[in-house]
Amino acid sequence: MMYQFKYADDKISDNELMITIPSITIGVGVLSLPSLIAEDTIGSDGWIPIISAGVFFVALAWLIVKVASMYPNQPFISFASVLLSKPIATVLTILLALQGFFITAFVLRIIADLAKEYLFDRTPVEVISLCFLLVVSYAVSGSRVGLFRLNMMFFPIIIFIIVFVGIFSINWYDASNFLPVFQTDFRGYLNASRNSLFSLTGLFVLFFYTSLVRKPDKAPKKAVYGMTMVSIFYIFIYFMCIGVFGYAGTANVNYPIVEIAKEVEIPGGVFERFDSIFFVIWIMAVFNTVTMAFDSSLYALKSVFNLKKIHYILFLTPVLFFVAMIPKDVIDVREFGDFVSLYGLVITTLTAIVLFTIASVKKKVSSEANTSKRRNSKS
Amino acid sequence: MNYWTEYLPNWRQIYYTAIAFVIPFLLYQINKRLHHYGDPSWKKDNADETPREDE
Amino acid sequence: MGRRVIKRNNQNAQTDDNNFNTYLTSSLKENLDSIQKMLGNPVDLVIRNFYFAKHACAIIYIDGLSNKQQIEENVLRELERLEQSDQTAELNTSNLLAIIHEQLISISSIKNVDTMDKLSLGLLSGSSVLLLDGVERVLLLETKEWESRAIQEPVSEALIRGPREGFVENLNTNIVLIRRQIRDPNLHFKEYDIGRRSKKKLVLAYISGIIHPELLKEVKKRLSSIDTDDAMESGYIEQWIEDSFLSPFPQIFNSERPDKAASALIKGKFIILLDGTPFVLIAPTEIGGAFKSPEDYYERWLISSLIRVLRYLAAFITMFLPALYIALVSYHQGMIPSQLAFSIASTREGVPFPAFVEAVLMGVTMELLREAGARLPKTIGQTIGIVGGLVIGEAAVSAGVVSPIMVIVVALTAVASFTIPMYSVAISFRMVRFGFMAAAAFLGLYGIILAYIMVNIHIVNLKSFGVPYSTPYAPTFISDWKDLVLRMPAPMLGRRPEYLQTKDKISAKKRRSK
Repeated sequence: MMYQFKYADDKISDNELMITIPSITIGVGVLSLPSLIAEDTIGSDGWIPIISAGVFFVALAWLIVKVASMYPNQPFISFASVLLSKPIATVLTILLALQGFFITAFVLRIIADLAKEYLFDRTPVEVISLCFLLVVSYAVSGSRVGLFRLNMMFFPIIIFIIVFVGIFSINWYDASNFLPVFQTDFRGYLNASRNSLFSLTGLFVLFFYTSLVRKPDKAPKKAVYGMTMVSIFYIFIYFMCIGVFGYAGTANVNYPIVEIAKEVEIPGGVFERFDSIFFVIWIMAVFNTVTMAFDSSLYALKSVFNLKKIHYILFLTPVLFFVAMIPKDVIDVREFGDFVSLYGLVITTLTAIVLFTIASVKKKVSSEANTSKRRNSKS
Repeated sequence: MNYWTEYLPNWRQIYYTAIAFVIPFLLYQINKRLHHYGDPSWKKDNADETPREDE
Repeated sequence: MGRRVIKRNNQNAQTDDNNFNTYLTSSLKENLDSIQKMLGNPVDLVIRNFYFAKHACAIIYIDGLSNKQQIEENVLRELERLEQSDQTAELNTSNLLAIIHEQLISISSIKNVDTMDKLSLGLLSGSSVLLLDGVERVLLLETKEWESRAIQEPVSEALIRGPREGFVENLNTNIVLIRRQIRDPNLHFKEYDIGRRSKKKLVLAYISGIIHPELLKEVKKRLSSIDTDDAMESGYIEQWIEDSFLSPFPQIFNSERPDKAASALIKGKFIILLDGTPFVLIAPTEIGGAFKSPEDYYERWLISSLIRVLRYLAAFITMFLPALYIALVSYHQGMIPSQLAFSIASTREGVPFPAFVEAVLMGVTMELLREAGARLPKTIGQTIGIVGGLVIGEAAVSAGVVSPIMVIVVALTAVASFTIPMYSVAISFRMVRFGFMAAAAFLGLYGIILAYIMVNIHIVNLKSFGVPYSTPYAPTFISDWKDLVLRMPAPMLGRRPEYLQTKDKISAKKRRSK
């Protein structure tokens, strides 16, 4: 084997796992999130559902990483087999792989629609999304740690562009837009929470990637940090949109954050229509989401059927493209998105809770057995 | 509610799907050939001894 | 394994024309005959027969490779003196060679060899050979000296501030140049013979207390696997040991500057010197290294930091500017400020080509000019720049082939690409630029960002001797960022790069008790 430095091997650091979480969750969902929330809430009340969804996901992230790090350096399928028996673990792995597959296909479609809206109108959707898919395939056919390095490299750029937009749109903030507070009814909060939950899916990758972490004991804490980062980021974006458009205005536009970018004027007037630039940079964020989803799905499939990774890629690339092109219109796409999010939410939460319960029960039993054994040996 | 027949792919979709297979496949084959003929000996020895997990 | 290959080939080379003996015989005449036969009666072989203490002797050397004066004064005259002294009495055939070996102190290095192979290698590297009748061994006397270029200022890496000396073609001089920079006993030079026929000396230099031992093992393995007839320049070696031959980016840097090589050694890298070329190889490398010039450390930190930021900007201009022009003009006219958009549109009025063709046309012209300037003698090269840059540009605009904005874009790109200190990296950037242009022509800004992502994917997967090319960006080493885009004040750079995992770093890690 060719020699590699310790830090350059197939493992990832706990910080890389932390960055993975924003990388997979921040994608297309957050672009429409403020408008979806503003539809159901009044004033700046939207932060409450975002926080509640955020807290839920922080807990979920902790749960997933905790249960995965109880079995350090074991892939998902092996510790799930220990906990649930082999056949159920296999089914679960395939279900989670499907989740990655669906996210990839859905985002592929959305990115093409968005590009059509903000960049060009004549190029066909198929070409846009095919080119994106080919780049994604190229990325996942490289080394897996390479993807985490990509996350690390793109994440600062993404944060920078959002902060940039936030700073340069400061002229349009209107404090009265944040009022009134606490006027939303319970139903509104519930609907908004549902939408926030949907835009935060993607944590399932942690089931697989925790086994790659070099120091698993640190991982749960880092996962919590990562998810908290995402929640703060979402609230920041939400307040930005509300501050500029007010809740009624935010609800009326599809992608409010891109609309804000449209208003940004760079001093000196080098570029007009900053929204195109913003969107182009945002493609990096979307790209990270897709590679993480696709790669974890490959990882899952590879642990079930022992084929070469490249063969999966060669097979899945056309299939993904085909599925992405099935929805006919905006309504179809939205339904598809809702389905993907719901599916992901249910499967991830259930798997996490079931695995965690069984794992902790087992641990308790074994520790009790140990103590009783010790007691026996003592007496 | 739409009928399922409306979701049948048109020719353009099938055409691009075919491309989505052909391009990665060709690149993979070319890459494989290039590495087969171009890699220096120290690299080939490794490939024989321990096939990398990620390939 | 590579070792074995080389050895086998050596034997092959001898048995190919097996008219001469592998080992020396005791007959002087026979030996001389077989040497002549082996070398094919060369015109520049000098054979001087003489008698020493009543023994037939001969000294042979190759004219031009050995120092004639040294042979005369330090060998022949010394032998004469030795013969006249009283020691001659106890001389006989058996101890003659040993006595000469001991007494001939005016020659710094004497080797006692018994095979034809070693003899010929020594002879062809410039040693003179002393043969004695009746002895099956010969003495190789170190009398190398040949014409070589004096130490000059390196042409390809000029600095405003910094040492004015550059490597030359002579390996020994180059080693001396490095030794003069680093007087550490741990500075080791390991010698290899490269090339089945050229038998060039290659030296791997490293500081053994600093470099990571596994890195050293890896490079030794790769070097000993090289199996080729010749190695004219260090570029040959580079291509044999680099990690990916498909990558547009060089994974091993080269330099003509001893100070740069020495600072790489101290950081924990290794360098490879090859006889006959002033370019030494420096590895492992990372993408950030392409933006570092030795001058950065000689100037004050604020200046260096600003210049480095400028270089990063230049790299982006080199890669993106023509592509951005194409994307903006052909897809996103709305993004250009309206005043500028009007002026661009009016100047592009008469241009018959789409922006992509225009950009490729000018881009290729620029590369042509650069290539022509590099091939021609220096004085004419400058003329080419003026003729090409001014005349062709001006004429092309007035003929309506390209727009003036395009000329600005191309000129800016060219200037920007020359600010990158590593010439080989600058070429890669310019190469990648054409890919960006194609992507922009195809998909506008969307294409550019996809191409950019692809370059990033490539870089994170690329390695140089086990060191990821994208480090210290990712895998992230924050402490190494002090000397990356910014160059922090010298007292803050007290630690070696963490990504090289130098030996003392590892012990530090252990102490931190992970």
